[in-house]
Amino acid sequence: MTVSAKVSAVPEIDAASVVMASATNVENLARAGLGDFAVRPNDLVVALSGTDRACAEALQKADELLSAKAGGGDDEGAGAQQPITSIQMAVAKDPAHNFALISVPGDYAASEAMKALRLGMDVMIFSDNVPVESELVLKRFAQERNLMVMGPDCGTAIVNGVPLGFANVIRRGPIGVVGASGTGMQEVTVRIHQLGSGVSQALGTGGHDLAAAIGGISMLQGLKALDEDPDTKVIVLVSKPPAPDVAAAVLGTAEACSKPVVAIFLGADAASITRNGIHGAAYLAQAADMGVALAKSQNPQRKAIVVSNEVQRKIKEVSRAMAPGQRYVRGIFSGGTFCFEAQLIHAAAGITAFSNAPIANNRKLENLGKSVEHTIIDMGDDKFTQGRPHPMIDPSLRDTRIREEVADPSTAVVLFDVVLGYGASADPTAGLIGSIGRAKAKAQAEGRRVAFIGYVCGTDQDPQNRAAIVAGLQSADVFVASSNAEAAVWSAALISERKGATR
Amino acid sequence: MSQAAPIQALSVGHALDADSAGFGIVHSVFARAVNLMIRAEMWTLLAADKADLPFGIRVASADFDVLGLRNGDPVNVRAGFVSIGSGSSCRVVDCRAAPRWLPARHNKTEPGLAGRLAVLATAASDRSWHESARMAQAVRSALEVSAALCDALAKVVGQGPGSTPSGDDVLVGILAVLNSPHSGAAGARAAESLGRAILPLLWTTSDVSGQLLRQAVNGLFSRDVHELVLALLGNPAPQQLRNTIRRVIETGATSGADTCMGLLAFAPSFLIPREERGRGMMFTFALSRQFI
Amino acid sequence: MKQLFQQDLKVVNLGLQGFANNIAAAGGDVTHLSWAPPAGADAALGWTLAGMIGDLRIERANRTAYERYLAAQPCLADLMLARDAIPGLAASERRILHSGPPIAWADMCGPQQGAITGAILYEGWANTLEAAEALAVSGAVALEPCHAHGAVGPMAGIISPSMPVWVVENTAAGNRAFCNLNEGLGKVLRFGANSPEVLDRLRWLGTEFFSTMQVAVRGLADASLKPMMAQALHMGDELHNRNAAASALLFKRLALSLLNSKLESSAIQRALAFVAGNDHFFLNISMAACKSMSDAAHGVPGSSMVTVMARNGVNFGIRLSGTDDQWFQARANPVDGLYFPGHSVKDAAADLGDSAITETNGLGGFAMAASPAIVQFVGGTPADATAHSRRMLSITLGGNPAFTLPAFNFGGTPAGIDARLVADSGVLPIINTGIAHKKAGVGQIGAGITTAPMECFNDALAALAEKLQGVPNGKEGAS
Repeated sequence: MTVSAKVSAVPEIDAASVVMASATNVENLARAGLGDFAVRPNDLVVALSGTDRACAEALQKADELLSAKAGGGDDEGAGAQQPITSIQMAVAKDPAHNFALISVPGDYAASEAMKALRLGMDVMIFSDNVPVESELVLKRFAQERNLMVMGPDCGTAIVNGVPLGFANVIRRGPIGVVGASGTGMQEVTVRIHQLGSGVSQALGTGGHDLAAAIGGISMLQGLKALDEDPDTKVIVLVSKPPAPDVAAAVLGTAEACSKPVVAIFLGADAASITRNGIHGAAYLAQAADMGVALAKSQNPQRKAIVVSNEVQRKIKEVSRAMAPGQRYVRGIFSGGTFCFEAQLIHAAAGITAFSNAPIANNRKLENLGKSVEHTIIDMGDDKFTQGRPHPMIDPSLRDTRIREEVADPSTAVVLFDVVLGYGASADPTAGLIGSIGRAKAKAQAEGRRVAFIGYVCGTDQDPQNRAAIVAGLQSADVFVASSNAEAAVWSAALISERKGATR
Repeated sequence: MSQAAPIQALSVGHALDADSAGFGIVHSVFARAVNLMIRAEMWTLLAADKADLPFGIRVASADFDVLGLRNGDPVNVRAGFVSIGSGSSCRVVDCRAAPRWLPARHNKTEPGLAGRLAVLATAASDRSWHESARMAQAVRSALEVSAALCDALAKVVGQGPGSTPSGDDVLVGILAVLNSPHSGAAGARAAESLGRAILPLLWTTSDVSGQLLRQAVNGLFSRDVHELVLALLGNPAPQQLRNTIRRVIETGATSGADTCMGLLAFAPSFLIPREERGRGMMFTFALSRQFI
Repeated sequence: MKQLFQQDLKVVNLGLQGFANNIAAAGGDVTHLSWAPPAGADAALGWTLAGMIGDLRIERANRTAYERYLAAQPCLADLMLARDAIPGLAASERRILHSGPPIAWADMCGPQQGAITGAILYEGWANTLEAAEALAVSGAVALEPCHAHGAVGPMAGIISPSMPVWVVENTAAGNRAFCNLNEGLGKVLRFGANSPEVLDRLRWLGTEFFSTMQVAVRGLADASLKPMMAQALHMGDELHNRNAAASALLFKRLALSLLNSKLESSAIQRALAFVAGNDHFFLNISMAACKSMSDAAHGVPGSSMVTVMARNGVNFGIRLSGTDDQWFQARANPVDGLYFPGHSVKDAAADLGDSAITETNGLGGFAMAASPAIVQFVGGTPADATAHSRRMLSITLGGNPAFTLPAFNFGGTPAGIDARLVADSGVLPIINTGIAHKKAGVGQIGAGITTAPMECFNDALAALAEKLQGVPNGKEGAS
């Protein structure tokens, strides 16, 4: 990937991809318009598109970068250490290895995970495109050995205080989190930290665990592990609603836990999951709030988000400055769960939207490149990321889309998320703030005022400078909310205000 | 991570599972043995010339002192590899394909056991601790009056000199007899009573000795002791019997000999077949007279 | 997972390097793999392989096989004519053995065809080269691998009925292995030469040398080979491409035995001069000893231990202990080597001979750390020699404590290749090898290092997995 990035940086290169020639990658390259290849699976493909001169230069650069990696070895003599090429070899060098983090192409990820399990290790599989049958075999095997498979398609975990994948730096504390959603876990853990509490373990189950075919094996393993962990006093469970049988099994196990459980099934009615020992939450931040309260042995309260007078005043002020045609919200998200939660909150306020990942009753956006009416999209979705890095890593496509939305005269609100932590871009708003400034000026010249509402998901301990990022956004007149739900509530309030104004 | 080549295990004891993942610490380091505590089991690294133990790993390493291991160093076990220490002084022992030592089975008791026991008695009595025969007899008597067993054992467990106290060694010898399949139903019953009474007393002796005593209660003995029992029950050439006896007796200052005293106190009544029993009684009488 | 919470997290990261960097930046402990798809990038085979790691049936079988290999005690029992030692070469048969996996005459390389033609003449089954060739083409002479008859032969590896063969017996288990005599260097049968001078030498070897040497062998005070080989490893031999020390040690024993015999002194002098003149004389005995050791390990159901590696100048073939007599073949890999002046890779024959049986037993390329001087012939630096041996530790079941390497602080040489580890790690067994000219009879033109091809191990594992289906296992369900 780094080679990809460095090669793309060569001027006049339109697109660059340096990948293993696995079946999936070759397909992806073809679909991304980077050509068709006859290759063998162990080959490395350098695919470039650009001017002839640029391609030649980029190929040479790729060559240098790749041979620099492959060089060394036998020629270096006694000092050289043999490269470690397999999990078994790593264990032979040091049996203390107890965890495997796997992000190899999906075709191979399950095999690597099986080996790790057989070597007595717990596993996190970041890779997706792993066949369901393989996932089931892995999870059943892990269950027999009292091990856990986090994934496939698990992007976030924090184990023994170590951030794994895309994860934030969170204070250690008494709250254990288990979830099927990466960014959902990120917001919950971040908020727990911001409220002064801490996290014992944050275990991801992967995106498919709660499907009927898998039956929530990892979710149940995670609940059990947290229940038995002496350092965990409260458990928070984060997910979208599972298949009915799976939901029953999960809630049954949660009920049997000796510790209080806060559960959020995003989109399900919080009251419907509340029962003996289980406290249902309606939105991500609320789940964190309730967990922190329980950890302090207080009563967890399900408080609705109230728009403060100050913010109400600002909303009215912005609305007054808008042109009559401005009426729609454009939600541009990098976190899938944030996009989902935002849609739910808008729907509760009577605002239906188009999306590439619509909730029930919202509609599918046909042309992904063009927003229609209210549109709330997840730019981290596969269809946007073909051959490109995820927007959390490289926000440039997200920035471009926001510019486009501002240029659209019907846009009233631009709603977005900024995700910090390990794995995310070192400076996710560098381009965005300048972009917003220029786009606003242009809109102003055309007599329009656009409202920007954002949520920054990160802690003061993260590698990025959260305070500076928030300050930068605020100086660009962005409304920075304290949670993804609050940002959506503010957006819905403004849209309602616009409905009144444009009637 | 280990930079040096792994240490090859020469043999691994049958009770030791190095395939399941686990972790622990170094308990104690000696020149030719290192005790490790893993999953509440005591494993022992042994120099090549030492006898196999049920939880032992014999390695080709000459001198454990030079490995730089210290009490409390971390130990990790995974997939047949055992690592000891951390950072640059970490050493990995490769147990994957090493032969597993399994105690040999024995089929029938050869006649002449009493005579072989006499050879053992002569060899062991010089080297054992002077109280060990008496302790063995005390346990024997107490077994018949089970109420007295705990009290009697309290005066045996942890008593006497040695890194494994003589009393513990005596009990190992007794248990070697009682746990032998040839001790019959009576032996099995006695083993069970004795074992139940010993376990609550393990805390009164040293860690290492307590672990070995627990293993003995569970029917696990060193290769030397196994082979001694087999030699006594079988029909080995005289020189071979003497060698087998010598290997046990020369363990520790009095440790091996004390084990033999325990063995001798119980073998006549539990191992000598009924047909030979008459002679056996006379032998026992002679033995106890020796120590009045 | 519960256990994990009580320990320090130590992560193995495979895939995105950024994840490893982040863990390290966050103060965690992580090892990043230089990972490539295993099992030749065949995803389905990779899944099968994953199920074989930690499979108790395979682990137990390997322990049994490895124990038998370690316990083997090869002894030089006799020197006999092949027709008396090997049933398949008895007088009633017309059969010639060759090195490597099975191969049809028409497909054989130049040196092997040349050597077979020579052997036919030597046996007197034909009188001219043309007639001998015609006989071979007609199929009237059965051509089979040495390995199919418990034997091995270097380079062309030709064993015919009238040739003397070393008889090495593994006294621990009783099995025997055979190898022909080393004719010396230059124009010899094993490089495909079949001129009258070659045949004359063969005839002398098969008569006077044979009778003299048979007496010598039968009169040896100490016939055990393992201690001698171990000593040679401490003297700079690796017992495949460097045998000078072992040959000298053997010379001592043979000389003393002959001096104690009643044989006529000029015959003794001629025989000993022949032995003394060939620094590779011991190679053939080394090979037979190795064959007897790995044969002891062969035939354990479920074992993934490699018991044969052999080449026939076209294909490289292996056998596993747990897959009976099945050969798993692929085109031999190229040799990375140094050529004698006047020769280059254009002249080279493909890898040839049964001498890879030494590597199969932890000697040769695996014991390169014992033989730093060999880099003068195969290339590289002495540090490379040690590094090669170290690397082999990652694909073997253990180190053989009987063959210690000073460079390993006298740790055992890596021995007992586990096919699963080869496929999983991508580390190929390394072989020190001589390079023959591709034309019959020219001889050795260089030496170098080559590797066994991955395909052999993939195919072998697939076959082993299939055999294990339906075999009940200890704890877990069928994989």
